Amino acid sequence: MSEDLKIIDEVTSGEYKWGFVSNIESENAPKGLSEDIVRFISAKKKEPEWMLEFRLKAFRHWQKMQEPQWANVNYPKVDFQDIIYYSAPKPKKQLNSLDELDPEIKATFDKLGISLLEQKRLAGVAVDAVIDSVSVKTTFRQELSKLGIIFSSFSEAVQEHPELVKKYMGSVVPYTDNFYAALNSAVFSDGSFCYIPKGVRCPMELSTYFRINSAGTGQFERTLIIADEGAYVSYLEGCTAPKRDENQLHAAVVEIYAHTDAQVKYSTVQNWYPGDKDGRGGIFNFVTKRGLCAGERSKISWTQVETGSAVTWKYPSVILKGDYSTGEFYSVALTNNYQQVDTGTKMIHIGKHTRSTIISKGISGGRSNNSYRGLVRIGKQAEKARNFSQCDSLLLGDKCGAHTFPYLECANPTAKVEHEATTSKVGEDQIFYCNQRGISTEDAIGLIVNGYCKEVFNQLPMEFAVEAQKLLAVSLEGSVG
Amino acid sequence: MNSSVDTLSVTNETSIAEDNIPVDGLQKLRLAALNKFLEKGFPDSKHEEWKYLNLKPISETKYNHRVVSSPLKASDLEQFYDAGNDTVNLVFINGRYCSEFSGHQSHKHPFSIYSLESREAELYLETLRNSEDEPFHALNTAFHQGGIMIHVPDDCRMPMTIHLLYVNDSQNEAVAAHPKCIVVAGKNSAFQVIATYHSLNNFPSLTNTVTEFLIGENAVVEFDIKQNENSNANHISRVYARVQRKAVFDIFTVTMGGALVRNNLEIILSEPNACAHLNGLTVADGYQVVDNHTVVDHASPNCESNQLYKNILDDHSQGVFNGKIFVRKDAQKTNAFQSSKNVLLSNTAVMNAKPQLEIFCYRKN
Amino acid sequence: MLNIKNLHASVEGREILNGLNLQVNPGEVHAIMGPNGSGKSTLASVLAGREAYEVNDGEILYHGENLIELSPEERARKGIFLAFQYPIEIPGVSNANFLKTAVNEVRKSKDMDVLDSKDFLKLMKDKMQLVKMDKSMTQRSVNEGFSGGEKKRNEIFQMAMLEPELCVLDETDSGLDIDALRIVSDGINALRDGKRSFIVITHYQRLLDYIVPDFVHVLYKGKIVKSGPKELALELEEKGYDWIKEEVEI
Repeated sequence: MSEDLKIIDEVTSGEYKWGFVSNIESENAPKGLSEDIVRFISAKKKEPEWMLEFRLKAFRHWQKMQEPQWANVNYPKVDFQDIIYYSAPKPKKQLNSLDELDPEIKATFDKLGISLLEQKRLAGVAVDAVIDSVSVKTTFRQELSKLGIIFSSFSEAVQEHPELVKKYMGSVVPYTDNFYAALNSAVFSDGSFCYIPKGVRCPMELSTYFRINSAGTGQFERTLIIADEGAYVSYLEGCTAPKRDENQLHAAVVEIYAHTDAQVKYSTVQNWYPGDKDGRGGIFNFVTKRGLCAGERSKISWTQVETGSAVTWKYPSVILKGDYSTGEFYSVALTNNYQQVDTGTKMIHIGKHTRSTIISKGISGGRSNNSYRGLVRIGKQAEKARNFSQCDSLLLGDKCGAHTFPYLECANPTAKVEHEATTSKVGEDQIFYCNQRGISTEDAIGLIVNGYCKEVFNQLPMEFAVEAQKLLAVSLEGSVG
Repeated sequence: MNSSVDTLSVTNETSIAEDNIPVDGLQKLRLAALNKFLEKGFPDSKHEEWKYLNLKPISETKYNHRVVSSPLKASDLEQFYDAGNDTVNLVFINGRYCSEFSGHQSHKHPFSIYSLESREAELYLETLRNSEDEPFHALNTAFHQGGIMIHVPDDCRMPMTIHLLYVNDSQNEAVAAHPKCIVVAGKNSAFQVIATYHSLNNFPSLTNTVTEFLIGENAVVEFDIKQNENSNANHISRVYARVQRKAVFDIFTVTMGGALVRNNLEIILSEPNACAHLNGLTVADGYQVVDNHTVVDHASPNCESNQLYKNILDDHSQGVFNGKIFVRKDAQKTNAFQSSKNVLLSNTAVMNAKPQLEIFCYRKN
Repeated sequence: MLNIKNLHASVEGREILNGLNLQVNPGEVHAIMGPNGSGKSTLASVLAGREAYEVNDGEILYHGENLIELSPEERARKGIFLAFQYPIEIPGVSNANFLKTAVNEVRKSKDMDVLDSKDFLKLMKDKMQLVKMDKSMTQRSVNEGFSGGEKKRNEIFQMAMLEPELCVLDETDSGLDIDALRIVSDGINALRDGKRSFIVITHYQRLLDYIVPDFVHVLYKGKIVKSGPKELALELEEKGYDWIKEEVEI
């Protein structure tokens, strides 16, 4: 067994491949947080008065709040005065076409495997790229706008579609919601905005790519997706960050609003820098993601593959308000070394005949701790509501931990709530069986882990599923050098 | 906790105070436990373990925590005796063991009964000391009086059933009873224990009962609890069992009566090949709240545990199930099952469940 | 091809094999029989290189090379195949994907080109016919939800795919009814090509009605105590193992 353990050790301590720093000139706000900084950010973005008001209200509320302690994670206290709240790549001049993009930025995205236009045109994906909280380029805007679809950076939306932003921002995640949502509402610098009009099925995947580059900065992006009646959109989100010894804070907010018969599918491959083998550095990923199924028969589906970040605290949730609406949560969370994840979902059933499905797959290796925390609440009025949850944990070593904290609250006699959970270890037997067929232990673990995650990968758009599988393979890979 | 200050001011008015704890050889333990309780007071719903149970009905009632004597006669109790020939009835009134009402027809039984102040009990009191951080357990340690230890010797396969009969009899005040019973099962022993809880009249009462088991190697013990107190009775029960090598412990918890009922079960499978089965049935109506909390701690390899809990809830009743399974670092080849199935019979009944599974490959604390 | 000399092996500190000798030449079928606990499955595990089994003395030469020093996957790539008594389930991994990985690993070790999907599917189709495997089984997860018979058939299918030189069948007949036994045996017989060798480990003689061995060995207390032609199996069936025990004890 000791040999297997050694290999598992090597396998689970793979090197992070996106840890480079790009030499992009950036413009930073001074460190620390105060009303002045909030005003500074708002002024930088030339925001209208109402936007500044929203930020200031959020900031004043945040000052009264305390950092949440309930998650099953341990990390050094964040010094909120030691963070740069605004960092933007310095634009050389106004961008008119992609060719004018800062070559360093372009090189960065090429390195990340994201060609901002060509490849994605073939793949049919529109990309919004965000570096250090500022949107640097959104592709395919013109083509999308022919269908009435708005896909832009958040700050552009504030300028160009203030009525939409005003109406929906904070309607799903109010700034009072929690500590990090309040912080984000005060200082967010950019993010993506997306509106799909009535009856329109978005013909391509929309994608946002997030990148933290500058040192000492926090990333606070905000995404707002609105699907009007009968609209459909599939949205992808990816993220990486350089290797640094310090911890960096990422506190994002994602809001999804689905009207009657609308469907939104939101997929994330989260690969922020997880810290080194000894647990130094890495991103603190404290994110609030929530969707509101406001209309009847609407559907919101979250799929996430979480392999990065030193500490993750994230519960993509759905409020099922419209009758016959559907919420889904599919998650793979892999932790290595000293990573800690506390993730899960909340499915709040308010409407009648609402349905939700939760499939969570946790994988822990190294000395990591992986927790699932989920709430299923069936309200009094949620007649015939249905929920099915399955929460599986897989342990790769003997120094890690797996924890599940499911809360099932049911106040309607016609509802049905089911929860299943299993925990297993990658078996010596399974590895030996693969070995006996000529497969090395490293490849065997890869096969077994991928098999275990299959139900979730099946939910990802094709292109993303391949990326996720590769990412998992890399995260499991032995340190080659 | 911010709110502990408020609740403390309430508890100060009650008889939870040093003056009221019994004076005996266990004084030191009692004081320590009382102070532990007073540090935090009754927990509120912000406390994870008490999230779904509002304790105000207990914290705001002025109970008499001293043991109240009762003028009962044996004939008053007959209705509760288990009629079976093979039953030894051991009677507790208001938490205190009453030998005068207890015993077997034949006056003979193969097990021994000791006072908790006795030398024999001392060792086990020490061995079984556990989580007095838990507020009600601390209260029990502080206020229990007239508790007993039952010792079933090695190799004793006992055909007769031990019936722990708990009766609360309060004539004119709210009584708090803190019964404590330790059961030591010797190696290779096999037997059944039944606990039943009753009220003689309709006065409010609090039963804060602790039953602890030490199950020796290869022993097989079954413990059945039936809670059938009046509708003003609040009931907090703690069962703790340490199950040793190849031993089997089965427990059935049936909750019918009471207003607010909390059943805490903590089973440690402390040695290899130990096994535990936990079964619970709750039938509740009116405004009853029944909260079953279980912890099964797989601390050793090759152990097995099985849990099945069912709630049938009518009217405005509320059910809670919180089942924790811990698998410790060395507990390879663990087999643990848990199932909670619930039926709501009315639009106003509520069920909250938290089936929690945690694996610690290394010990955190 | 395989030469086992004075093999001593233990598991969890208990010595199970003590001084086992066996020689297998290309194309031969050897049956190993013996009462429960005689060390039959230990021999299979030791040949495959299972880590919990420790070789304390003796040697295993495979084509003149010391097998004991090789890892399980190296042995597999060199053509040793173990058909498991209890095949392992791997949820979420399709049989096809599993076998594609395995076949290509074996090919890579022999400096052969890796098969692409098209060629692989063709190979799979051919071999499926050989062992009468149902097509749907290739898309199902490895052994997950398979019946006892399906699992054993899947082992033989894998054997056909990997084209080993030495096949070790560990109690392949256990848990099979007569029909399943016949199908599995037919598959094995189809793989007998005069060069491939087999070690058939079994408790009962009935498997040997279908797979006719060249030699029968009786394993008792970790040693081969009697060897003979295929008729020895019938004798064992008739008389049980007690007479062997008596013979040995005296």
